Amino acid sequence: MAAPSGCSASVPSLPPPCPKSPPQYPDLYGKRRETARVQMLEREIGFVEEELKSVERLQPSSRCCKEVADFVAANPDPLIPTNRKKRRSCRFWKWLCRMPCFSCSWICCCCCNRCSLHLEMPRCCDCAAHVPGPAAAKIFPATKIVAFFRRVHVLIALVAIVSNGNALVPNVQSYSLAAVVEYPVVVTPAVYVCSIDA
Amino acid sequence: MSVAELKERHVAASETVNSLRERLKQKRASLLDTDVAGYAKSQGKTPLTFGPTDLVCCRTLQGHTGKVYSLDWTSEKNRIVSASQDGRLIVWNALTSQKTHAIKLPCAWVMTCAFSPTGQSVACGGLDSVCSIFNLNSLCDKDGNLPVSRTLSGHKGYVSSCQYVPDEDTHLITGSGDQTCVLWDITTGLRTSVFGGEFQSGHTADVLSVSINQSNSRLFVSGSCDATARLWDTRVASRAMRTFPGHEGDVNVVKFFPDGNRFGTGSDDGTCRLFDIRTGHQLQVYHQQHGDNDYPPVKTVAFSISGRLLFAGYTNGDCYVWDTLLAKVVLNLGSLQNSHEAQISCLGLSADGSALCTGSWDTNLKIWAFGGHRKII
Repeated sequence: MAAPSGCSASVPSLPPPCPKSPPQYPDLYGKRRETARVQMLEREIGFVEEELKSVERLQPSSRCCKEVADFVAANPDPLIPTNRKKRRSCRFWKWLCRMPCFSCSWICCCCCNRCSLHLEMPRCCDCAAHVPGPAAAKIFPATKIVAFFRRVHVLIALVAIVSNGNALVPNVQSYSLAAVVEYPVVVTPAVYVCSIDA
Repeated sequence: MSVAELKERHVAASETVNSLRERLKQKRASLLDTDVAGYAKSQGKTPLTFGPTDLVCCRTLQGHTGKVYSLDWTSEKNRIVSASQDGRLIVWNALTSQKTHAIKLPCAWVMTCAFSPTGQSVACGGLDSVCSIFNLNSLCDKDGNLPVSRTLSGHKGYVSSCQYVPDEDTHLITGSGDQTCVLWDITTGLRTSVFGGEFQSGHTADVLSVSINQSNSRLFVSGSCDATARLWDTRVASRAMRTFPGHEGDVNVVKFFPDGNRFGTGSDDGTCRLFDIRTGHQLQVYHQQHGDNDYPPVKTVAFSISGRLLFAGYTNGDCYVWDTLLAKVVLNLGSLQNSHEAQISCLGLSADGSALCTGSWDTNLKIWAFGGHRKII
């Protein structure tokens, strides 16, 4: 009831509202969770201390790096241009060719049908040895080699793509090669492309 | 002990573990006398040179109508399975570009796929938190869809990555957003082992990638949003064999190096790294600015069969080919003619190493093979 106006009687003010605190139940869920976290951390401390001890016995990274380099060197890679060791006979081919090498595993089959010359590539040019497995793609663009066979000079121009049933080739079905060699000197190269898919 | 006392113990333990980790980091740094590039240069390793036509795109696999998120080759016969935002898995014959299967998924939100070692099944997983197995020899249902032959349920978060255990069509390993990896027995559909988790020592954030060691299938590595990679032995699920800190962001992808003793990673920090599993050493960091102060995240990596090349797909559309020995970029597939028109999200090498498949957000997959010269020097 409102105090009459002009009356200065003090009405005791109510204390501010004070919501009751929740009962003090033990916070088991939070405690267990916190205990588990602490235990995990203490376990982690143990693991890190173990690792600190084991690190004392570790080899330096240079030995691991050597292992990586040795592994890479020991394994051929179909996706990488192959660089081979320079040998004396290869230097001869390098001077003659000055062009990229190509697989010779099939060349004699193509050439020798109509050629009385037996062109034997030196071993260093045996690219087939570096191609892993029959499914590897062997793709060689047009190239030109100059080969000396005793005193006969032969010029052969090649467009060569070898494709077997399992190889991946860039939209090419197959190529065949014909090289017409006329003794003693003149060579007329002829290249036939069977088909190319668009 | 009261909660307050436990919290104090927690703080003290955190400080101790951080201090120990710092000591470990310094100790490890003192053992890094060289990296792979430093060693290779000291040995006079010849740099690789790639011309623009040395790696050519020889197939474009078109058929998905959404971003390609994941791909996997068979271990033989040149088939590929891909997973896409369009909610389908497609199985391709990589040689002919033909699709042998187009599998409509029960949940369209797929993130990962894998081919079984025999090539008879494929697995996939995604936001539905399950890993679904499809037998490619099954008969289609009345709607023409291949039925799910097994559902692997148990993860509490999305399935980010899956891979079959080599030589076994019966087991696979998944990585998940619930911070765990799981080894599954596909025959029973049950979890054989759970790696990490709430009260175990494991990743402390989402697992984004797993890679199983091909020479020792008991070992696998996982990469996580906690910026670490971890090495696990499937016989010991309670803790990782080793933790590999170093990255400064999410580790999006992990892939074993072909020798089985190292693995590569790709991260949101824009770098790829090479780690040694036996010593824990970080052997090499592969990082290069892409543009003005630009270090886009790495989303996918793959090694060539010799390990000399590391392919890395970045979010800005680049796909760098790294010389792993000299830590130099030798080619950018993303800038080649006939390359993808959007980010390359997944990569994989064929079993014989003669072809690389890339999958992209432009909805296509492409096959790349060597198209250059083989030189004598």
